[in-house]
Amino acid sequence: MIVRGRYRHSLLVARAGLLFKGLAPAGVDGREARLNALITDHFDFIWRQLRHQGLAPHDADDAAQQVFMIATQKLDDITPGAERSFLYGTALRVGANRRRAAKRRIADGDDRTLDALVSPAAPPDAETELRRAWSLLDELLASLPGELSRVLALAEVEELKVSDIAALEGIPVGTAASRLRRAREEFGRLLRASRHKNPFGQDSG
Amino acid sequence: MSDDDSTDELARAIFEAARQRRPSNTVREATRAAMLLASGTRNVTRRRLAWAGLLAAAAMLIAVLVLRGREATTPAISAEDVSSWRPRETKPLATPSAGETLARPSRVEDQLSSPPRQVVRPRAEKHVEVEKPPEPRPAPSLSDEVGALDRVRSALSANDAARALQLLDEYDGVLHGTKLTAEATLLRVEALSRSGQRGAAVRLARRFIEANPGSPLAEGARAFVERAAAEATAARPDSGLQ
Repeated sequence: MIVRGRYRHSLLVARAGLLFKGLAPAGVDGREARLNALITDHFDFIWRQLRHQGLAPHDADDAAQQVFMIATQKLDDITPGAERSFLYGTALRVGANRRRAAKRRIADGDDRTLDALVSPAAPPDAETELRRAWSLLDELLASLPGELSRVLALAEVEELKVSDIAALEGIPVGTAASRLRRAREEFGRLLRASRHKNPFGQDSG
Repeated sequence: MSDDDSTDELARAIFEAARQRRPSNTVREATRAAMLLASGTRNVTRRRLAWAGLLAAAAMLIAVLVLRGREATTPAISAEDVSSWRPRETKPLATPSAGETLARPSRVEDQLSSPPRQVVRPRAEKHVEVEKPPEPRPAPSLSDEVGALDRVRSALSANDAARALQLLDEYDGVLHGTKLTAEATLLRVEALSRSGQRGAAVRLARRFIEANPGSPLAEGARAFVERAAAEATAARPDSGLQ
């Protein structure tokens, strides 16, 4: 495409200029910087989306790595600024394939070795509450249709605007807003039915 | 508080907890290493080819200039010069006459003729030294290992592959890292490749693939091996990669 050609042309010009100046070509460092930015800016987000799709922690790890290796191979085709959209779309496909291949759904709360905490020094009670909350969220999201659980997670967990959600999902803004409304209603109904599993301050089950 | 309000509050708490969910640093950093390995080789190769071409052109230019300069300063050899040439006179090597021996180095002779010194060792004192068991080495923390491999990446970014390899040896032999060994292996493949040890890099990448066949990180190693094979074939069409 034109964008791709322009991008490569600009890289070649930059490299040639720096070569004659006796410096290392900027293209190499630029590519590495872009790859590092992909990981730093988007890895956690993509990993969470894969978890919200119903993948077990180890499956989400493998799937996330697969998503980013695909992005590495296609980096030149990714429009600068559109990395998140590319990664999200790839994650949906990779996650769907992984779910079909997975032999069990996420229901196992024993993911303490794989899901890291923001504050590892948190007291044990807080850690337990967090993990119970994650487990309950996974269970409730798994009870929703995929198109509703995704928009709900993007809105409530990632705190994205409806317009950004629509762009990621590739749907009109009105459709995204409608799905989000339905998702919130359904999630609320499911949560009320699961009040006995409140992870905060009570024993679950 | 109504049921709806309490449900909304519970939902907010659950979503707030979900925002604190993170993948492990190990997974994240191992993915980063694999991505850089899969991508970096191609660009390093392109850069090397560009520099090699530039250096070759510069070398040719210098050679031409030198040859032209020699032609201008070196006088032509005339026929008279050739006819007047005589070989240099050289001194014959000294050879011992009958009955004469070449003197040996005096120091050696002294050592052979003098009686050996008698070394008197003091009687060992009676004390028993108990060898203390070495204190167990504390296992490096994940942050130690991440920091160590960050320094490796910095060295690679600064095009100092030798330094990167040295740091990786320290990671293995001094720090005894255990949590990021996959990432360290991929970084070593990259460092070996950048330092010109392509064969060693390929062998290490293949061992990583054999040990981790299903790992997505192996994709980076496979891409590297395939590229190395393609480059070797392109450079020498009649031979394959060993």
